[in-house]
Amino acid sequence: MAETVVKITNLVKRYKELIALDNFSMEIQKGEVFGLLGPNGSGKTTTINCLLTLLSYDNGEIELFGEKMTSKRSDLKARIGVVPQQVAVFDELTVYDNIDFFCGLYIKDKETRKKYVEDAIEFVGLQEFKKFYPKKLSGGLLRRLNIACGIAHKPELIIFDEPTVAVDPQSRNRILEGISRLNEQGATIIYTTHYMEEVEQLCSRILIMDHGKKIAIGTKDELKGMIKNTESVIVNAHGLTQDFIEKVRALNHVYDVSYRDDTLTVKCSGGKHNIVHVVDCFADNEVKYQQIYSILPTLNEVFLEITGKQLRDNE
Amino acid sequence: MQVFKMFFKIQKKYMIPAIIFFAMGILMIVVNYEFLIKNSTSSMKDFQTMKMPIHLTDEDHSTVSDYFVDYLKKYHNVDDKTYTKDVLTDRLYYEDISSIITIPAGFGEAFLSGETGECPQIQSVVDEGIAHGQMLNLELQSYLSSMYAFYHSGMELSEAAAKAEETQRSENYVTIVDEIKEDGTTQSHNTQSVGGILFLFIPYVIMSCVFGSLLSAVLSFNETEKKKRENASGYATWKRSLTLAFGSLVFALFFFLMYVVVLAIFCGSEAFTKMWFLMVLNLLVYTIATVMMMAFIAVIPLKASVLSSIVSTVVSLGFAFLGGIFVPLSQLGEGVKAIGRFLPTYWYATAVDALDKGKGFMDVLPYYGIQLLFGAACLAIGMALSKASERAH
Repeated sequence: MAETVVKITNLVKRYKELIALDNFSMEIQKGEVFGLLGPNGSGKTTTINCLLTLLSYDNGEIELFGEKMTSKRSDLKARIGVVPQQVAVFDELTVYDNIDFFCGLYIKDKETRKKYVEDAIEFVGLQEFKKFYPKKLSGGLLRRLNIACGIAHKPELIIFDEPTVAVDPQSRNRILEGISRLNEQGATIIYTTHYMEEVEQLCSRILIMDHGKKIAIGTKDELKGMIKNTESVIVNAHGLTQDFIEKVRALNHVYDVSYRDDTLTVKCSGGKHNIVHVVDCFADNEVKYQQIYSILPTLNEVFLEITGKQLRDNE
Repeated sequence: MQVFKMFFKIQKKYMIPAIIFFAMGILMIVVNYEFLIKNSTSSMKDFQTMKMPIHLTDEDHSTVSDYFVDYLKKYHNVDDKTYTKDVLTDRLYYEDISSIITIPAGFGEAFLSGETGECPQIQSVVDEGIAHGQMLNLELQSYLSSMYAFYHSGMELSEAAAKAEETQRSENYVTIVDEIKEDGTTQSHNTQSVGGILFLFIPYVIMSCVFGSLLSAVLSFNETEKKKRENASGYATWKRSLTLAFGSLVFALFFFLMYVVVLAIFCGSEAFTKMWFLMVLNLLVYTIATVMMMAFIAVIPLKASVLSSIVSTVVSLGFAFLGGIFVPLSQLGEGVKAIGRFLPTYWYATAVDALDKGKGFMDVLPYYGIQLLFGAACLAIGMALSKASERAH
C-alpha cells in the first residue's frame, strides 16, 4: 500500500464571515502528481498555505508524511519544496546566489549545498545565466529560477502554485517537462492551477474544488466519467431540416442536439465511438456534410457540468 | 550564517548611498574643524576696514583740507570729478557712492584759528537708510576732531594729521566674550569643546547611512513573498529576525566605529578623555536607537528604493532640525523644542550640550535612557505591526 504523504481532514478556514475552506479533506499518496484545480478564490492557495503552516486554521487536521504538521515542525518543512505563484527571488543576488540562499535555508553542509545548487541550475537549464541578476532574465527564465529556488534542496514533496502564469509556451513546456522529471525522480507533486490542459497533461489524480469545498476527485478519466457527456460530434452541414435533426436526436446515446450557423452539435453519453452512428445517419438519409469530427470532454466541461460555471470565468 | 552572509551580499548592493553619506559626514567634520574650531581658538581679526566710494568737493584748498583729502584718498575711493546735483543724487541713490562730502571755503582757517573751541564741520550728504554712509561720517568726524585736538595741544599740523591717521587706522581685534542668557547667566563662546561641536551632527549622517542604505536591504528581505518562502522552510522566524537585527547592528556599528576613529583624530588632545568617552557612548546609544527605529519603518509596505530615499531625506533632516542637530538647542523656539522632546536627536544633543558643560555620566544617563526607550518603543511597534501584517496576509 502506497505511503500517504499528505492527509488533510475536515479543514476549516474562515476569514471573518467568509468561509475559505469548508470541511475540506484530501489525501495524496507518495509518487503522485496531484492536481488541485479550481477557479480563482476557490481555496487552492489557502489549502497550500495551511499545509505549509503559513496560515492558521479554525478546525481540522493536517498530517504530512504520517505526522501531525505544526508551525514548529521544521523537520517536516525541510522535506517540502515550495514554488510560489509570484516570483520570490532577490534582485540583488545572482541566479547562483539566489538558489544558494534558499537551498541554504535547508542544507547547512557547504559541499552538499554546492552540489545541490549546481544540480538545480542544470535541472532548470540556467547554466549560462548563473552570474546573471534576475532583472536581466526574461519572464520564462525568471520562472525557472523561481522553480530552482524551490527544488534545490531535493524535497520529497514539491508544491507548485500556478508556476506557469504569464509564461511563454516554450518555457511552459519546459516547466511541465521538468515537473514530470522531478516526479520520475521520486518526488510527490502538488500542482495547483486553473489551466485544465496542464492538469490533464501532468496529473495522475485531480481534485476539483470550489468555494472551499471538494467538488470531485479522481483520475482524469474518472472525472470525465462522472459527467453525462462522453463525446460531442460536430458536423458542418448546410440546410439541415428539422426532420433530419429529430432523426439524429433519436439515435442511441444521443441526449442533446443543437443546430446553429450550419453547425450541428450532437452530445452523446455512454462511450467514445458515437461518430460512426452519426455518419451512418447522414448516409442513410442522403444528407451531405462538409466536415465531421468528434470531441472528447475536457475537464472544463467536467467543471462546468458539476458547478454550472466555467473554470476560468474570472479571466 | 547563510542568511547573515547573504544579508551582507545584498547590503553591498546598497553601499553607494552609505558611502556618500559617510563622505558627507567626514566633509562636515573637516569643514567644522577648519572654520569653526581652528579659527575660534586662534587670535582672530574679526572685522576689517573697507574702502568706501566718496564724492569729494574741496572748496577750501587750504593746507588743512589737503591733509584731509590725502587721508580720504589713502583709505577710500575718492571721486572728485564735477557732476550736476541730480547726477550726484542718482549716484547716491544707486549706491555708486556712499557719501557726498564738501569741504567748505574757510574750513582750514577756522580749523587753525580754533576760535569756536570746536572742530569746524565739513558738509556731508548720505543716504539715511544706509549704514555705510553714517559710519563713514563718524569716521571722518573722528579723524578731524582728533587732528584738531592734537594740533591745538601743540603739535605741528603734519604731526597732528599723522597722529590722527594712526588713531583711526589702528587694527581692531574683536572678541565676543560672553553671551548673556535670559536667566542672567553668561556663557563663554570660546569655551565650546571640539567634541561638543564635532559630535553634534554625527547622528544626522549615521541616520542617513542607516535609512538610505541599510533600510533597502532589510526591506528586500521583508518582501512578503520572499518572507513566505523563508517561513515555509524549516528556518525559524526568530532566527531570521535575530540574524537581520544582528546584521543591521554590525553595519551601523561599522560606520559608528569609523566616525569614532575620525573624531579621535580631529578631537586631538580632547580625545580619550572622560568627556570624549561619554560622547562616544552617547553616539553608540543613538546608533542602536536608530537601528531599532528602522525596524518600525521597515514594516511600511512600500518599494524598497522609494521608501529608503523618502525616509533618509525626510526623517533624517526632520529629526536633525527638530532635535537641535543643525540649529543649537539654545536657539530653538519653544514650540520646536516641545516637538523635539519626542525625538531621540533632541536628547542626543542635550547630552552633548550637558557633557560639553562638564556634566558627568550620572547627569546624562537619563538622556541615554530616553534615546534607548524611543528605539525600543519603535521596535515594539514595528514587531507588532509586522505580526499583524502577517496575520492579515
